[in-house]
Amino acid sequence: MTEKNTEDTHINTTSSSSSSSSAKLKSSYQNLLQEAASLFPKVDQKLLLDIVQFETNYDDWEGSVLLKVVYPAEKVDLDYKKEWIYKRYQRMSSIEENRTLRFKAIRMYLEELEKLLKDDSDIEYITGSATMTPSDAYSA
Amino acid sequence: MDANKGIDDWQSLVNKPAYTNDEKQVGIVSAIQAENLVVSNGPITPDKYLVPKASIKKFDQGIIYLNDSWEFVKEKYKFE
Repeated sequence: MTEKNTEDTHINTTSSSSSSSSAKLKSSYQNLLQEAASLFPKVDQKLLLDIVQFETNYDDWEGSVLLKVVYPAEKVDLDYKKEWIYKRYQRMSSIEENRTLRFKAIRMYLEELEKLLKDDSDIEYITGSATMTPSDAYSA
Repeated sequence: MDANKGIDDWQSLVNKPAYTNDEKQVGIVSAIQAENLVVSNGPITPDKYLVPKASIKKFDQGIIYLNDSWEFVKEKYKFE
């Protein structure tokens, strides 16, 4: 009887400890998401976290990112922005839906994303996808 | 109605449908930004809309109602 009680206690302790670890991890992740949203409010969170993951896990990651930069509709000269992007990254972007510039960038690390947002306050939203391996400039 | 349209937790809008004032479904909310909702519609290459939080009329029983018409949403909010 005493042996069984000890066993039950052990199971409960393990379960409680495991549950507590899960709760702690989930809470930390929620805090990370909240901080990411407050530091980069204009960036798609999945793109942001993918960049962080690739950048921190792989030293040789080239920063290959398909970027979609969204501007307010009808409030900016997209041709000017297109040229500005070209001068900055030597990449020709395409215009989508009259408000989005889409281009494939390399070396688009977190710091560069931050600089881009700082240098162009017209940007309303940035989305896209980060890829592990570089692909050619015009692929999706 | 207050600026938040009575919405305390904006994350609760994720995966909820958004409708225009002429009853067209814009899509499903896929992300919440500081000032906008990202609404996606379609399975493979979804159309995406950046809908200002300010254009929400109400959030009632899991459905988001917008102040704008479908034509307006298509023209002003679609970005991809």
